[in-house]
Amino acid sequence: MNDDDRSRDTLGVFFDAAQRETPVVSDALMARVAADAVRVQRQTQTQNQIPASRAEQGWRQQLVNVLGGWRGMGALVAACAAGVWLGFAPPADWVDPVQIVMQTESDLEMFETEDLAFLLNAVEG
Amino acid sequence: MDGARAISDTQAAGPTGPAADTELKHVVSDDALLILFARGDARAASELSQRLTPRAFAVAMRVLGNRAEAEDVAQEAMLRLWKMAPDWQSGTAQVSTWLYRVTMNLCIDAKRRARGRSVTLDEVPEPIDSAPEVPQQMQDRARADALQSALMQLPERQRQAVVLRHLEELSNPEIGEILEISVEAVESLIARGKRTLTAVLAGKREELGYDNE
Repeated sequence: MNDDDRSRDTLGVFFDAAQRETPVVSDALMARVAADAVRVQRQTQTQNQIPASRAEQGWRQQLVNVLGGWRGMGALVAACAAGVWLGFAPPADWVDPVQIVMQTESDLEMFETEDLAFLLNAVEG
Repeated sequence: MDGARAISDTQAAGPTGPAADTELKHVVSDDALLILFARGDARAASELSQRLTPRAFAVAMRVLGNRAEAEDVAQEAMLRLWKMAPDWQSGTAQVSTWLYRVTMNLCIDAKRRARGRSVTLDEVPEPIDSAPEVPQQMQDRARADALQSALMQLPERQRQAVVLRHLEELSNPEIGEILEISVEAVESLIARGKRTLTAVLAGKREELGYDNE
């Protein structure tokens, strides 16, 4: 009889007995495990619902949200409309900023307007 | 059974009712149940708890030899299973193998924390069942206690390997996967562990009625 046979004979009785005497799980442990499962499952569901609801909103709603909701969006549209209106029809007593810029930078003008027209005509002719 | 197939079959059986419960208990794999759990199925949580908690607890109990520590380990292992469920890759591994591996690692951590504390027979759990025991049960209990005491004298890895092989009845490749070692290393651990157990328990043969069989 070798060592393995001897071990099998001696230990088999103990292993068999231990398998029949499997440690019993207490109700308290099962309750703790069940409570953990419910808690984690709820957390997982909540985390999954947030991205899903975002995806359902569509890009227009997401843009509105980024700009501060419908109120922010309304203010932005009003400001843009006012800017466009002032660009086309500025009040008479307003100084034209473009003119100010052109005057300050027109010192280096190479041709008078009439000279330029003459030159262009000569080239085409 | 394929996970997706099991889930569709289960869902076809209806969301509730005895028929669906029976299907969950007898047909659906751990793998499919874990996917159902991740989708919010409460019955899957219950069924997985019933299937896997006793296994995690039993193996922790036999490795640690302490009921309170084993319960903590089993609860933590199951908690990690719940948290891992949404990321579970169906078909890549067995859920039970994953759970055994986590349980064994938690046992090592628990032993590390308790290092230096001696383990005595007093720590082996007392029977919970208060019903009168017949002689066979008493003999089984005495032998199981003696084996537990002897197991606690083995080095950690030998004890884990022996418990998984001879009490959980897993194959050597499965044990290798759980302990993250080669099959040859598993065989070596088991052989050395059994030699020590044989030597320790040889002296108890007469005491525990071994010689009468």
